[in-house]
Parts: sequence; C-alpha cells; structure tokens
Amino acid sequence: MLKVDHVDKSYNNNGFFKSSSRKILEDVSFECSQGECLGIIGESGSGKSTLGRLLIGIERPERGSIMINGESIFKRKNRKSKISVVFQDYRSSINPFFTVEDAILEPLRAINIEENLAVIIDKLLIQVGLSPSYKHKYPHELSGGEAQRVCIARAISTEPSYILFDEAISSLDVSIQLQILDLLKELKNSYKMGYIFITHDIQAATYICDRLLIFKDGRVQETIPTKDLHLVESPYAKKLLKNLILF
Amino acid sequence: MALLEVNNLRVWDAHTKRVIVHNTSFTLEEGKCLAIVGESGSGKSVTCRALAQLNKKSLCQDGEIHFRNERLQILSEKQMRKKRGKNFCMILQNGMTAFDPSCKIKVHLFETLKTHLNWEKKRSERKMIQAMESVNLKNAKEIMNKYPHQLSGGMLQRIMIALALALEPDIIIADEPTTALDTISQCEVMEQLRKIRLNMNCAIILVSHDLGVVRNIADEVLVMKEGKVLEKGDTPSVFANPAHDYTKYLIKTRSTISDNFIKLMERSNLVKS
Repeated sequence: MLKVDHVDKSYNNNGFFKSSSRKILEDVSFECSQGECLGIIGESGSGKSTLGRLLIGIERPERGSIMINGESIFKRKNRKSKISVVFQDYRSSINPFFTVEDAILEPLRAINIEENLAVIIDKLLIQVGLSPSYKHKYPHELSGGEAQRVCIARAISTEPSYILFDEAISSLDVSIQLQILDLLKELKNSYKMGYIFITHDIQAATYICDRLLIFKDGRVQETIPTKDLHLVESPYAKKLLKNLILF
Repeated sequence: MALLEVNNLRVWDAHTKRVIVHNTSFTLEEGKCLAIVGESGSGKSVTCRALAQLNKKSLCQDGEIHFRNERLQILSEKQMRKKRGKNFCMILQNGMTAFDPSCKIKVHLFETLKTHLNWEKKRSERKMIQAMESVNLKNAKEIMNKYPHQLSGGMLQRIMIALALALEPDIIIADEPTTALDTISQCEVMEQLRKIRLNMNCAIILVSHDLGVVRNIADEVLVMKEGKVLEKGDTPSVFANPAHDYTKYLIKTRSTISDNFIKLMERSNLVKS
C-alpha cells in the first residue's frame, strides 16, 4: 500500500537580485493499493515527474508524508527493493560502460541475494521477451524498445511491490508501445506488482491502468476509475478528452 | 506541374556503404500534404533532410530532386542556403534543442528574417508578434525576450511554426512536430498546421509515426520501412484498404490501443469520433 498524504513541494528560483520559490506540488493526496495500476495524467510542466521523484524517495517534500506499507519512504531501509523506476530516456538510463548483464545485476548485488545470478538473468531476459544472448551486449547496440525492455528487466529483478514508469513508453514507436504495454500487463499478472504510470498519453493509460489521476498545475484535479472515464467532471479533464487526436 | 519531384533518391553512408534510403520517388503538388509514416530507423527523417540537403557530410545522396523544375543538386551551398527558409522551412522534432541556448529567442528569429527577407528589426518584430499571436502565444514580446530554457517544449514548437508562418515558405517539412508534446499542445499544433495550409496554400511534408495525426491532416501517405517505400496512396484509401502487410500491422497496433479508449468513450458525447 502506497499512501501519499497532503504533499507540498516547491523549488527555489535563485534570481540575481531576489530569490523566489515556485510551488510545484500542492496538497497532493492519493493511495495506490498492492497490485493496482494507477495512471497519473497531466501535461508537460504540471509537476508529474516531480511527484515521481518524491514517490521513489530521491527527493523530499516540504510538507506531508509518503508511506509504503505503513513506513516512511524516505528511509533507505524501508524502500530498498520495494520500489523501482523506469525512466523515459532509455538511452541515458543504462550506464554505457555496463553490459546488459551488469545493468540488470546492479540492483541484485545491492541486496545481496544468495541464488545463482546467471540463472536469474536468463530468466529475466526471457520474461521481458529478449533472448539470453543479449546479456553481453552494450546499451548502444540495442534499439529503443530493447533498451526499454532491459530497463524493465532491471526494475523487476528485485521483485518490488511498486514500479514507477515515468513516461516510459512515450518516446517509443506506437507498435513498440503496444508490445511493451502487453508485456507489462503480463508481468503484472505473474508478479502482482503495483504500477504507477506517469504519462501524458491518455489512450495508452486507459489501455493498462485501473484508475486514473488527472493532474494539473501541481494539483490533483480528479481521480476516476478507468471504466468511468466518460463521467469525468472537472473542466480540465473534459478539455483533455476533447483535444485528443483519435485514430 | 508538381511543386516538388523526387526521383530515385538514394542515401548511403560513405564509410560503411550501407544504403539508408533506397530508390525513393514521390511528387508533391502545390498546397497538398504528404505524410511519411514508419517506425524509428526507417529512414523518414533522413529522406526529409536529404530534400533540404541538410544531411551530415558522411551521408552521400544521389537521384534527382526538382523544385519547380529546378534541379537542387547542382545548386551551390550558398544558393541552397537561400532556398532553405524561404522555399523550404523545417519544423523539427525537438523544440528544446532547435534554438541557440546562449541567446534570446528574438536574436534567432530576427536573424532568420533578416537573411531571407531582408527585413529590419521593427518590421520583423511586428510580423513576428502577429505570427505568434496566430499560434496562440500570448505576450509575444515577452516571450521573444526569453531564453529557450525558460520556455516549454510546446511553446518552442509553436515559435518554430510562427517563424514558418512569417517566412511564408512554399513547402513546410515537419519532422515529427507533435511527438514531444502533450495531448493539448498536440491538438493546437495540428490546428495551426491546418490553418497555415488554408491561409497560405503551402505544401506540407509531415513525418510522423502517429497514424492518428497523419489521418487527421494528410492527403497522401507514404509508408516506409528500412529505407524502402512499401506503399503510397490517398490517405483514406490506404487506411481503409492497406495493401501491404506492414501497413496493416501499423494500423492494427494503433487501433488496439485506441479501441479500448473509444469503447470507454462511446457512452458519452464528449468525444465525437
């Protein structure tokens, strides 16, 4: 259970003469239960990536708390191997000096597991739809979809309770997007993980998410189960739906 | 007479001899919109840049490109430079990196207008404000005094379009103009492109992997894969009866994602599909 309670966050804007602070998040509260897929939808600059960084505990809010299974996420011990993340930029999220094997092993080494690592790697690669022969490749030899699969394999390697996807599929081609979305659906069934899916693409979000959270200017506008999406009430959500370029 | 005629365009890497674009031919009529569709790595951006002869030195090209019956290859770099901007205008994918980060937006804008149209500052400013207002950018004056990092991707993208408006080119080459944008800006940018077409009767070459966008605006579609043109034809007929398996595959994947969404929406009158 991931619980976000009245979170505020602002950044200092260090001007030449005066410094001012800009509020990014204001009074954000929501919950995500185990095994649920929550979509966070908002336009660029609405603060959704900042929220993402708070959720994985690499930044702290000014006010409010974020709890995972009843414990604060800002203690390293509490979040270790419980939450992972997949970022948008697949080119820069794997260390270029690491092979695929090293990249996937990195989080596993950090938690000191005893099992046979070589077996685990092969299993993970097959699970994300890559052949085990990929483990000696370097990131620059992979295409966008393959690199993103490696990132997903790395994220699921520690079997976390939550994975955060920060625009993880937005920069991929539509056909690859579908492959990744189907892969994520499959993985969710076998691992019972919760997903937090940050995106601006409402169509992709409805494909995978159980519940959608519509986000604007650092505030939650509306939370709605995906199947009731047509019943949205807030004016912003309505505008968002109206502006879609449908196929 | 076609505005732009491309015959057997071939682009290859000078070092590895790998062919990136195989014999591609197409024509573009005055005021029409041609869309190039394909996955990343299919050579669509390279094709576009080959038209404006903007590819890196390590890429060689041959074949014929005629613009209003004028062969583009025989022009010198200096003559070609005059053509870019005035006759071809490119709208790039990533607004964030398309402007010089070390100077204000207006420096770039005025310089471009000065080179191509020889306008002095006052006139450029007046025209730019007009153009920026027509793409829904309020406080145009204030925006022009900002640096690229102070503006969002959607705004920069619209500034690029505004510049294209002011230059009034014959062909706009839009290389994935909506990919980096969120839903609302996407819709606005498409609206602007449609408006430009109506008002100035300029032709558009649209490169995209988003079939939704393509269906929305294009008259003709060119499907590319691994540097080869697999299919071309009118937009409605290609989408209704795709001849090639790859086109079918592209359409199927896209509709799988949106079908679910449309099903959800059918019960409401919010989305009119």
